[in-house]
Amino acid sequence: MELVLKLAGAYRHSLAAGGWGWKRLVLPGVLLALWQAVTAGGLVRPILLPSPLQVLDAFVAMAGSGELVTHLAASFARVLEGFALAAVLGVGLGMGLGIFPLLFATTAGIIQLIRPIPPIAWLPLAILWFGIEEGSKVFIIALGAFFPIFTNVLDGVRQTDHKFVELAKVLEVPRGRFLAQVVVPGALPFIMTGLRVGLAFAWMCVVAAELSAGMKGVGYMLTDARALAQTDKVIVGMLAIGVVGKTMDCVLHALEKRIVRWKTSFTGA
Amino acid sequence: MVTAATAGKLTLRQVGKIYADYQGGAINALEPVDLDVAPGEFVAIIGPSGCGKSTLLRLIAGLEKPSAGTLQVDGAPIAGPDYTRGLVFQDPMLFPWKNIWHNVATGLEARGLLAGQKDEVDQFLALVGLADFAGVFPHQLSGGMAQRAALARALVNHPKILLLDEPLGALDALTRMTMQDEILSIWAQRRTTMLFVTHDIDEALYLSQRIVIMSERPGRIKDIMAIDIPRPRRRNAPDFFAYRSRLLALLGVGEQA
Repeated sequence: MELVLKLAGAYRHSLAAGGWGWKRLVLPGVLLALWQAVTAGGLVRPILLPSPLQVLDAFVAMAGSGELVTHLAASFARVLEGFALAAVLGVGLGMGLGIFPLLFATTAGIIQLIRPIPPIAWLPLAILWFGIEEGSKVFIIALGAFFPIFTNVLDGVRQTDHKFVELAKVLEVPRGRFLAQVVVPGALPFIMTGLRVGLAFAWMCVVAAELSAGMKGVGYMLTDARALAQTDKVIVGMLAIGVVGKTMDCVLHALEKRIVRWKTSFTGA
Repeated sequence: MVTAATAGKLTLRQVGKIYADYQGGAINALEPVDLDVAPGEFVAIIGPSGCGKSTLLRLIAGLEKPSAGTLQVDGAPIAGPDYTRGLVFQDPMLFPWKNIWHNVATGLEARGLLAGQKDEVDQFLALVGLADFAGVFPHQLSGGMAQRAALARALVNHPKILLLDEPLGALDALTRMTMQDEILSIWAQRRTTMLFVTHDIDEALYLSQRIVIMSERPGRIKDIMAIDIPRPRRRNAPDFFAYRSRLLALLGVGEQA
């Protein structure tokens, strides 16, 4: 319950930050109306695109039976595990490679070689190595979320202003303190961006991993619904991912605003 | 009132700097120069861009190693950067994530002296007129105020020499004049040796006891001019005109005396 309240708070915070109120609801409203108009008029067959009301019915049924929560919870848990792993490794390695030139020289080549390989291409190996259930999926998610986090953290360390380095020398700031008080705070906005992009990648990867194997999770639910031609269930699953993903992003964004209070961001001209 | 400075004597002998360029060639940034600055003296360095004035300042700061020659402060060679030669850039370069008090305290904290010298931080914040802004973050300050904080951050370490690299170059004309007066009043109180790089002739004339005129390609000292205008100086004093004409002629621009 406490978590729900916090999430609601984060959402309200993000709304207040934008300050546009009802204007945010115009485009979704128009799209919804358009969707309803197109489907109600019988222009599109329900198997291709069910009406919003059918989707709502499916949602109520799936929420009532606990089906939606079961699958969503399974995916959510995997995302959390994989993302946590990626966050620790991505921040750690990004910092490490940014700070120690020797570490960068010896490992950057391998990392850059692995980066272009789509995480899902690892699935056959991952299943062999970590089993078909949880292990392989968490591995794929961690891999997918790792690179955006790692790349952003490395860039964040790299963009440390050279004048700060010189200033630190003149003021005789010891290396450790310099890293903790100048490099890390300066990289924080980049770290937060990396985490937010990484989280989005984690959701993409969880669905992809679940499409291929397993009996639980939103990805499995989508394949299953598609096989049974239950398009309304497919849409419910997709929207559920969107809503949960957006909510998690809001939490991270609120966290970012708390940590990086010293920075004013551009909100559009 | 004004205490005579005893430390902060700068001695440069045949100091030159050659950089390697990316094609393996050499760029002669600074021809060997000699320069003596007395303790507590206010010296301005002026010249076109690319004349090596910033290189000279960086050599004195210890951020660059000279390709030739020797640099000494009070008889001891400069081995590398340290707090005794404070540095202020054109950009205040305040740490955005630290409030003004902690920005100013950076040097003392770095050397483990902060616990015993918190009063010093307050004192120097007051000296630059930022006593009421201790808890404020840099993005909330105006350009002039931020540059004052940068001054306090250098001064709190009691440097022998303060190196200022076009510190007022980014400020509007009025703020600039106010800041010039503040720098003079700080100098009068503390008698820190000042090396002030600028491209503004009037600023150099208003502030300094001597002006080092540099010329470009390769960077070298063209002349050193003593400015014997009594203080407090008035910005529209007639004495300025003769000096300005001579400076302009030396810099190779326009009007002849």
